[in-house]
Amino acid sequence: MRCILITDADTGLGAGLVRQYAADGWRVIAACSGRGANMRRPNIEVVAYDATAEDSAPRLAAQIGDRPLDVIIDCAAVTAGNDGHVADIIRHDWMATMTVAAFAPAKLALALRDNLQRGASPKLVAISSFAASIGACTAGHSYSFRAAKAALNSIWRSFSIEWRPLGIGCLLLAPDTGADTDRSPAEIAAALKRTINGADVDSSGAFLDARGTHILW
Amino acid sequence: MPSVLISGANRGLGFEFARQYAADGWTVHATARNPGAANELAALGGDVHIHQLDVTQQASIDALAAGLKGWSIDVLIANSGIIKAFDTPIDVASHRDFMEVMATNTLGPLALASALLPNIMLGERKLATALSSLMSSITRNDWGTQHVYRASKTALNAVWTSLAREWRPRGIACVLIRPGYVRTGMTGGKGDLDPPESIMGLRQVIAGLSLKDAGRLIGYDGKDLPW
Repeated sequence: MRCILITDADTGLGAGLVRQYAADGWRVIAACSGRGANMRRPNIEVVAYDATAEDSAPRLAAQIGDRPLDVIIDCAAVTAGNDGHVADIIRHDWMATMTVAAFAPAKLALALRDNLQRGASPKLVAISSFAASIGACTAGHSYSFRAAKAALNSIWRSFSIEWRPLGIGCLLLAPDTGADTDRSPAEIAAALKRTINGADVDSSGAFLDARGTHILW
Repeated sequence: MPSVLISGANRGLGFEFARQYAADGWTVHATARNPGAANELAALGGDVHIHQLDVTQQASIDALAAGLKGWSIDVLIANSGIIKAFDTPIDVASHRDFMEVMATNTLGPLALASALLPNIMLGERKLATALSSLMSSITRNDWGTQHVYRASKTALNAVWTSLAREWRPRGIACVLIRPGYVRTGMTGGKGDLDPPESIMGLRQVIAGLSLKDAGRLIGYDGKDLPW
């Protein structure tokens, strides 16, 4: 049975992904900051995860042990702040966003690298955002959110290069673009799953929208 | 004469900026975390004003802005940056290390620019520049390593282009500049060129900037770097 870890599994997108993979017969480890309500199925295991804590990665890794992981989807779930103007940036919130969306995913990936190496054609997926595209995103948005997702992209790109010899493919997905705006979280989760399934180590390092189309860095 | 504010001007590229602009007769506002130890800056001739500034501390930024109230700044050069052990990968970086780099290299320039908006608006050139790096370019990253520094500079590109968009209606051009691989203390003395050559190139780039350049990332050689 293939095994996937999904973080922030109690957010809209995370929960949608958990349901999709569970329905496909995967063993799903759902890392939740809450109690993982509505996830009671035999092939779903709910574990505790709080990305705001500095030691979130080793704590989650301890719960996983040495089990092989075929896919990790780190939702890096963070809501865009109200800092749409530079004067509105709140230092503490900016740092907190950077912790959750960039530092925690990086540390978690490192803590679970050995688990991925034991998986079958393993993939390390992070949920980024169109807001992180310096080249394409020219609309207004939250400064802290854009900074954190851009930092995430930078780190994932480095991982994709360094982990290629390990056979681990690294993907960045931006579910907030490339899809029809009226799509439900379930439909977006299904589109992401198709993109992830279609990816291999050769597509490692890509930054893709919900349809699997490349986005400018 | 025009005026420039350079953060982190007590050494390396910041000092070279201060030295060259001062020699050209500009009014130079040079900041340092510890002005008392900025002996080289103090020894510069010309119209040089030394200010205390730690870009990771909002109170320090606010104090600088209060002290500069009413002064015009034609060109802001948000130069201060740290690398926190050049080869340190994220594997060994602590949360504190990570945040210190982000606070200095990414949020620092942004917070400084925001606080100095009134001064920039008083200037004629209305230029806000920040020092980026080849390491900021995801496109050009084909060897990994130095994750934290890279991420801080990629994120700087992201926020500075946003600032360019936000401030364009005010007539301010926010531009990212890339000094190249310069032999300084930060690189452990390694590099392709020396500070005078890099800064000469960047001053030429800055001299030619206008509002149409807002949001670009331009190297000391005048060439744009891909994101």
